[in-house]
Amino acid sequence: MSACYRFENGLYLPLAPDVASGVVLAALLTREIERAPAPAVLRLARITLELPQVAPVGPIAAAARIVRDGKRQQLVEAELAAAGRSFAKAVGLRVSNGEGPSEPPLGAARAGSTPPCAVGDLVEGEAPSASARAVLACDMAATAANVVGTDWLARAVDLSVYFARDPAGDRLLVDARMEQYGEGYGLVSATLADEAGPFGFANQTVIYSRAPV
Amino acid sequence: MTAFFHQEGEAFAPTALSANHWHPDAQSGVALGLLMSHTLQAQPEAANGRLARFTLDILRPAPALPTRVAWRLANSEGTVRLLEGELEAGGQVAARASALFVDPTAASPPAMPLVPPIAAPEDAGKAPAMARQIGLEPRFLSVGRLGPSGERTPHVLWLRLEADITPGVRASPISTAVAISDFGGSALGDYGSAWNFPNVDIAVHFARQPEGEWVQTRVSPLLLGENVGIIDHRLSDRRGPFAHAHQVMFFTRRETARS
Repeated sequence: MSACYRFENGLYLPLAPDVASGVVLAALLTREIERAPAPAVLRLARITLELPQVAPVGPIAAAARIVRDGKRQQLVEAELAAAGRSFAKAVGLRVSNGEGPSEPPLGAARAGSTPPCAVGDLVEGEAPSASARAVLACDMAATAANVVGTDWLARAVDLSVYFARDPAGDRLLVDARMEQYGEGYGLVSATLADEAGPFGFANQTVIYSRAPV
Repeated sequence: MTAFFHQEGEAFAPTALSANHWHPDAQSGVALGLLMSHTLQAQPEAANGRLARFTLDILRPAPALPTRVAWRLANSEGTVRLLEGELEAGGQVAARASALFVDPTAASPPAMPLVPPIAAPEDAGKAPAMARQIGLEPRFLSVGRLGPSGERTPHVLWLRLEADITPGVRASPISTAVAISDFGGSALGDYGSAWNFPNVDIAVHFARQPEGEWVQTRVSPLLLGENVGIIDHRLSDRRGPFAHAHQVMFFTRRETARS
């Protein structure tokens, strides 16, 4: 499968007219945060993605800045803009590697696995990182867990993913459920696992519109 | 002591109730969460909105000094508004937060039914008196402990704020939800002698707005042998579930100095 974007001179250039979507933009923001310079080897522990607007068509400019730097913890902010206007943002918490306590997870995800989003390469010539693939898989959860029926469309406006460790392997499980109590938004909550077991959680806010008849 | 802060003009002076367990000269995560969520709800952009997400990043220990919070509207698109805030104490930004609001006019499918928690706060045991006043009343339904095979028992508690945010100003249900979402460390008592584990963030993801002064959390830690563990909270009020919350806990061995 071909890539979604070519990265050239700091711009993401779409390789097809309809490539931009919330899920792909979330992965681009993840890439920007993971590319930010770091004073030590750091891994992603949390990413909070804000996607309040529908993805624009055309070239996308990306920028990242370090909010809090350190060898143990780093907070990075990334932003995407089109035609000079910011339309999506993310904050990533990166942490050093080190030891901590270990115990069997409570309520481990059910056995089984589903393949991650089949997007091929996100950026031409570069396979998505394990974290970016997990973000891609999580963003599909809103659709997979949509229990409000065919009369309604759900659109994700944010996504937060929490990593207790790096995911591994090609196959990820997103064990998701949606809740909505008639207040104009819904919450999709997921436990994330790979073939070694659970590795994290995800939460996504969705808003609704009536499906066209 | 009856309040977490005293208001001094535009600043909030922390009281002893706001002291941090890990850094005695700093403010606790509960205090930072209370102050940020309290000032957030006073913003005009928050009026009539429904809070869908609140994320607090603790950048560094906030000294126990007069503290200022500034919020700004970062994005407004359709029925969604995004606010960003910074908390400054001792001349440095010690925490920042973001909050996602949805207009009450947003379209909504028929609501899912709510299932109330099995046990009310009145059914839970009062916690033994603590070594210091914390301004919170936790009532435990079940205390999480590790069994001989490494299996964990459930950790479930109700919590309400005994103290005011500032004298005479009670915490809202949203602020109580943020406060209890900093309480995940109470499930990790088995590790207290060997590890330090301050949380570096608090995030609450709402499915509806909470009601009442009591909030329940069911805490599930995900600890996989790395220096970061994730606490998963399932929050309910007396009517039923209303949010998920998470904390990223940073583990260091007790003998290791924290940088």
